Amino acid sequence: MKPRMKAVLLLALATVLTACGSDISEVEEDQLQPVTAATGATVTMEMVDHEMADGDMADHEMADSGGHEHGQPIDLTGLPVLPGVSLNAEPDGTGGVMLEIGVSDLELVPADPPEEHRQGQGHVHVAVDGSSVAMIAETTYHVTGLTDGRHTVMVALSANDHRDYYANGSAISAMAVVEVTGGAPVSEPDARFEVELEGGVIAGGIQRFGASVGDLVEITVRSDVADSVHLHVYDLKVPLHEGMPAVLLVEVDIPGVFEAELHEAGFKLFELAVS
Amino acid sequence: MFPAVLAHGVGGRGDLPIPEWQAAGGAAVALVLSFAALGLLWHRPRLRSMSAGRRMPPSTEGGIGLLARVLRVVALLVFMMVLAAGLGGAAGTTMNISPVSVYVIFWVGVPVASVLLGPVWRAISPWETLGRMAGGSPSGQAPNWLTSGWAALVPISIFHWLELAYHDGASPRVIGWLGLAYTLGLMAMSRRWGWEEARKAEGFGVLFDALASLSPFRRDGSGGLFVRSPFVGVAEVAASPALLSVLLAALGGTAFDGISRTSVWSDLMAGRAGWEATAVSTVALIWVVVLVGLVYHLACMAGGRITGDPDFAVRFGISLVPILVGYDLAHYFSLLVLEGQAFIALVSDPLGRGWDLFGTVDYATNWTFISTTAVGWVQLGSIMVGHMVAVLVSHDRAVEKWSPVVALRSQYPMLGVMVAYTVFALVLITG
Repeated sequence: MKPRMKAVLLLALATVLTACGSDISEVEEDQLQPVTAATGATVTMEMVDHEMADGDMADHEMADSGGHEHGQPIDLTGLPVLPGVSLNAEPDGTGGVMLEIGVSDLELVPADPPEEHRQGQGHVHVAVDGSSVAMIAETTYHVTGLTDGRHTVMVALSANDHRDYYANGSAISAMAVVEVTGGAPVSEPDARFEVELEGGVIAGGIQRFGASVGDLVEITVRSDVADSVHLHVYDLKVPLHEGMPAVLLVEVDIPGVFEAELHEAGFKLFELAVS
Repeated sequence: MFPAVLAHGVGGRGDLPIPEWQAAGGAAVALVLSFAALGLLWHRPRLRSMSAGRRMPPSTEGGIGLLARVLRVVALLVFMMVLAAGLGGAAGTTMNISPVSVYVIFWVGVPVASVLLGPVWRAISPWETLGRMAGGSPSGQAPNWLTSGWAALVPISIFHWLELAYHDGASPRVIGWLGLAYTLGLMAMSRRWGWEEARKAEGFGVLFDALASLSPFRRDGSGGLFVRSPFVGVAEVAASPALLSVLLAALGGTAFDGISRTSVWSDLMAGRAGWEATAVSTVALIWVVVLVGLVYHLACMAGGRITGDPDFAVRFGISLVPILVGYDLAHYFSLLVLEGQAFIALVSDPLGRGWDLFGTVDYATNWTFISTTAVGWVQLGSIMVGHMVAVLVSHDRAVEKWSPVVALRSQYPMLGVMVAYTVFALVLITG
């Protein structure tokens, strides 16, 4: 009798541990979201730092494990009045860009921590060269720390829970291309690769890109579908907006073969072989 | 899918310092040469007599017995933590301790420990602990599916499917619920028929016990500890059709894992995700397992025809044990030493709640802990050594039963299989 009771006690303990676990964890997963979205204030980031990488991975896996709707846009098609956004971007001559954002028919609400989605409310996501740099509820923003040369700035309207607003099949967004001067000099990559997605299909199949340890590798991903690219082990994650190339820039220092995956779609995008 | 997330972090082409066909050719030649040497020099069985070993001094036995008791408790605590994390921890694969614990520490670490140290799983397994606790006085005769050992195939098959085919196999919830179901199932069987019978359904224990036979350490029924040469103990493993199936299933699973890393597979899976990926992988996994089993059985049919022995396949099933260990090491060694490091950080925050129980939560995986060249040599070495030990073991079995001449002849088909497996394995691991 006695050992049997022990077993029952043990299982009861496991069950209690479980029960007190489930509800709290749901909250925490959500709280991790902004970490991901806010990743890195620098645009041509090379490696996300450790803490943020954790957020990235969590976010990444949660989509895999189902049920998490982070990437699912909110479709506003058919509303009588659609919100709109416009963008004016002026380089400041010292490696930065001043943004003036015009938002119509949307009440701007700060969303840190994320709130429930409410129709008519939201905020602005700012991305430079495909990487998210800020989530703001203001109509001006100063992007700093860019390298010299051409950069693409994009602003998109997002709901309080950070889902993108969509209408008529595309994000409600505005884009500007700026020529930045007075910033950090550009470091020329040692190797450049490109991947193109057409209708969610990889043009030319899965490729294996080769590089040597110490190389600065630049991989440009173009897509006609919004998603995000995740390079495993290096833990690099870059959002992929439709019609706007995402650039992964990484100094490869770990030898081996690494897979990059499309986050939402859940399939392999390319392999990076470092020797 | 788990392999995409964890298992494929490092490895692949370029790891080997020599071209793949050269490695495969060299390994095949080494096999044939060792086969010839055995035929010339090894005329009577030796392994069985060597496998008894020398008994350790009582003080050592006592110390190891105490250590085993402590580890048994630790293992039970870790097991409950993993189960709780699976059921209630963060849903993210890399935030939760359960995926890395199950797929790396348990599935790779325990076999490696078994080969090096002996029947460690038998000594510390939480299922062993819980199963014994639940075991009452057996009421009634255990059914045939349990006593025959075939039940062990169920957990092994499901595990391989989860690991290699199911797209969401790394989900902590999946691991948690299946782990709980398996545990409760074992305890229920133990309660009804006693743990001695229920243990036969604990497929992992069955498999790990077989692998532990390669270890230089042996434990007898009364707790005595013995030291012997490595590998020889496999001669003492009780062969059965069920064990043979478990070994072939595990071998097929590992072979499929190899195939799933090739560019051919990549292209086949391009753009597939979710249940579509699962469906394709499931079909391919079944195919590979059937193929690996078929090749083995065809060779054994040929061997059986030469010797007139109807039990040929079962008799030589134990030779698959060293091959399996070789493949496991070749495929998962880098997984254990690289991805396995995630356990260090996660043990401080098993549920993904922002805890720091042991102050290790900030541990960052050192991805250059071993070089790809070292990984390449381990892969080549373990596949070759695994097959050479297999040839030795089957040869020893053959001379146990037949005259040296017949024994040698009986092993030609087996040699063919070994060479085929080796070349296939090496080409896969490097491609």
